[in-house]
Amino acid sequence: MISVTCPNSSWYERLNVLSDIVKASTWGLLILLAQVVLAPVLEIRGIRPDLLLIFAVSMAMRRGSHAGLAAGFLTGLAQDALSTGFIGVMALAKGTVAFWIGRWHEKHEGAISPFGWFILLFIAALIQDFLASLFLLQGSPVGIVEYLWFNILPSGLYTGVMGFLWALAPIGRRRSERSTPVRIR
Amino acid sequence: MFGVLKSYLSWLITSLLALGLILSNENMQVNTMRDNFSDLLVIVARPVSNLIRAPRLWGENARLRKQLAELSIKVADISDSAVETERLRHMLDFRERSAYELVATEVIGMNPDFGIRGILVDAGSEDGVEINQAVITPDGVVGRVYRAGKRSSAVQLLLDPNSGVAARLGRSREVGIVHAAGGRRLRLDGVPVTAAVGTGDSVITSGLGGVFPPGLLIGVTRSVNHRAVDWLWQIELQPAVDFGHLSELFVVRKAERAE
Repeated sequence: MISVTCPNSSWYERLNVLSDIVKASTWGLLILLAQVVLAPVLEIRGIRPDLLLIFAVSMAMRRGSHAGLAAGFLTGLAQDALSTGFIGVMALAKGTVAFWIGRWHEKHEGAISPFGWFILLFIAALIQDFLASLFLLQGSPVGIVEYLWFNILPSGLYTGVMGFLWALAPIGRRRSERSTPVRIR
Repeated sequence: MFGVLKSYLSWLITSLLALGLILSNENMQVNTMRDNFSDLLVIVARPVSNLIRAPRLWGENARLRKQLAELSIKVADISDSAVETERLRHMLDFRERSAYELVATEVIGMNPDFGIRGILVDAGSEDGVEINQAVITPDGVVGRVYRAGKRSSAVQLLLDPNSGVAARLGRSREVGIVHAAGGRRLRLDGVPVTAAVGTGDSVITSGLGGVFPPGLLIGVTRSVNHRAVDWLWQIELQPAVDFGHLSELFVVRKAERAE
């Protein structure tokens, strides 16, 4: 007679969560590197897409608001650490946007079309950059309307387009077609 | 119900943490951590950045070799003239002027924020780079060192909305301040309408701010409009530097001129 001992299921769950965190962190670091180094290649007339926002929103959509908040906050913090602006600004903006998108998706679960990704990321980028510019433009002679027109809007559109392409890519399609998000609570 | 509350609470705590960080921007430990993070990223980013730039550098290398051969012929002619010039200078008792001491550096990456506001370069305090030193290219002014780690530095570009450079119009010698104007545009503020300004006038650093040595080219005037509200010119500039193709830069380590 063979007896099989099943390991504790909660132990498995923890291992899965840990493996997910390691995977997400690796992706986050790679995307941060891409955002920093590939920026000149991706740049069009001084405007760049926010790849880290796509990552944070993607995490929020797939894993829920908590994971979105963590991804947004940490990638935003990394952005802040490398930037010449205030530390904490992008962490606040990105974390907040990813969290509320996660909350929204938890209430309205379902697949999102590539065009839906475009709209979602465009709006997310606008809100994030608007929030950040409230801090970054303090004392600056550049007005918010001017900055909105020349930086925030084009950057949001570019991020939206990249989100659209991300949703069309096989790996992104798998994510956008997943109707029930697997959440880390 | 508790789950939802817990969710909002975690967002609130994270937001408060971020606000706390915003308020601790002058904290030395926070800034040291930022510098260390930049240094760490540069170690990983440098090979990737070099790989991306390699094809362009090969082409540039071939072009420069050809140029070097042509220039070496010219140098031979010029060296004769230089000896003659030096002799005349001594005769006229010209005072020797010390050149700017430059630290060559390469762009490792752009600031990952939205819009263009800064860049990361691979020279730091170990190379003599310090905060507030001017960063230039042979074409003109790029920006200033905002943070200096050991092996990397963050450079605030002229395009940063919080950047301001004391400037002077090349023709009329009128002073003003160059600010970012959104996107890749610059503008010169504070020039009264009594000053003679035209399109195509060069705008140089005045040296008044203490960061940039005087006489460095910032750009040329592209459009000049009369602002009736405050009797100042509204001057838009074409930057001298192509901010879309920054690669090799120089940090001005010492900008003293012997008197």
